[in-house]
Amino acid sequence: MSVKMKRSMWLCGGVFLVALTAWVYQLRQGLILPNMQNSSSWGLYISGLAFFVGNAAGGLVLTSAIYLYILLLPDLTGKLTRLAIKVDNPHEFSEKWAKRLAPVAMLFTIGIHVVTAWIFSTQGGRDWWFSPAMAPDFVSVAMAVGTTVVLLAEALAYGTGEKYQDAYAILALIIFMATCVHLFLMMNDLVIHAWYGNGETHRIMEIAWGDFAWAHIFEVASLVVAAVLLTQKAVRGSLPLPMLSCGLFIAGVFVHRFLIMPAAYNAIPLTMVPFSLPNTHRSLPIASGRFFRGFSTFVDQYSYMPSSIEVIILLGIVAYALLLVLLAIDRLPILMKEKM
Amino acid sequence: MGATYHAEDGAVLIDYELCIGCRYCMSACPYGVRQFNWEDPAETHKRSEYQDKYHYGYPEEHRHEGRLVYMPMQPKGIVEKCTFCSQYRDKGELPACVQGCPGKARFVGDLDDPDSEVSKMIKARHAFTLLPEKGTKPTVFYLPPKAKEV
Ligand code: SF4
Ligand code: SF4
Repeated sequence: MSVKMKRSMWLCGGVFLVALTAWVYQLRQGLILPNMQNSSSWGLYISGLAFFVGNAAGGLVLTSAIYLYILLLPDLTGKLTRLAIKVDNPHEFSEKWAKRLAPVAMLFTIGIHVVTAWIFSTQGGRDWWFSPAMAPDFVSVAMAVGTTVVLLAEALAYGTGEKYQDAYAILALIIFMATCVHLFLMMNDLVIHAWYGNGETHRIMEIAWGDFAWAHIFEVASLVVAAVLLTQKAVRGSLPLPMLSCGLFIAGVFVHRFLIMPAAYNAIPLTMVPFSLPNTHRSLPIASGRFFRGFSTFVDQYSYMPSSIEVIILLGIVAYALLLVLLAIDRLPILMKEKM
Repeated sequence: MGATYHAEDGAVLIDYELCIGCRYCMSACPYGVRQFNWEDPAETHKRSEYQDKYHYGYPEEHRHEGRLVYMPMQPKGIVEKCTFCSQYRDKGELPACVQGCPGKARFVGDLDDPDSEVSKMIKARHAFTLLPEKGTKPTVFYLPPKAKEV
């Protein structure tokens, strides 16, 4: 094991342990430690859930593309040879199995992610989520980010040698297409929201585009830039550039997932129109459920920002996943590894 | 989880023994009436500087149709809401807010009975519900002010 690898593993393990301690502490103290409250009852953790389910779902959809796996799977040696399937004609094998596995795998994974989207979009109380475009959009983002995670992991494990460029080109194309579909669905949804929106909807748009404008710009720009970069052969040929692009893409998708929350929660849905005056929607205050001496427990707006304990716990999950990837790279006999 | 349920009498209640605190219902509720116990209520009670041994609210646990729907100190991590004072109604008494309202502005009764006081008032006074467009079919009605009150 190289020193670099050892250090990375220690770092990931350390962050994971700190997060685990924070989680046990939170379990004892209650959810008073995160910054959520009654009017904003889901936060970073649920964004994280949607994000990770998306990554996994997208990655799993790729399993149906056995062709890629044959190109990318390591040759198994030693005791692990027993796990290997002897394939004389990879092309024929892939044709045969892809046809059988693909429909089942696709249905299953898309199903999981559609249900995740429905958790949000079936809630009539939150106008921001109340959209039939949410499920197909979730699936398109999942395809894009899941493929990005696979590409990143492959580049880390095997490098970016010529041998893999065909496979990477296909992955990059999938990412680009899925990103286009996602942006189309998202914009479509926003335009329709804005077009038919009443006072309440416009208030939501104000929160989404006013308070979180930079985050929105980032969620669009990062995806476009990263997806376009990955389609470039020159970029894919180097090692740091595809990794940076993948990192940028994943960060953009994370911000996209986080943005599910603020506009859904920052305005309290029950509003009144004082004296029936036009354009004068007022949110009715509700109990925050948190007690701070000297402050009202009733709120009519609340800008949720994750607390440090939420950030640490989420980072711990990421560190754990990274640790598993590093372990796999280190322990699995990767023979086809190119010189990095 | 089936923790939230419609009781026989129409009240929406939460079974504290089944609630896992996922807060799904809070996201779905357009009225914002659901409250989560973010910490152990005993801790909040301590910080609120009430006099020693002072406790507000009905002092005992209460089961309605066999399900635990009221506790003087709810455990942390579960959701609660107005129970229409199930603990009083089961004894044939009116909810606390109806009993205590100085303006006598609150009424509780049987909406299934067209001759009940509440049914008659709803009909005669053009009662309305909040956010009817959300399709929640609420059974809490509001009466607009009478002409002389405006
Ligand atoms: S938090 Fe709400 S939705 Fe979740 S189990 Fe409790 S009552 Fe049911
Ligand atoms: S006092 Fe009134 S508002 Fe409070 S729980 Fe009882 S019925 Fe509901």
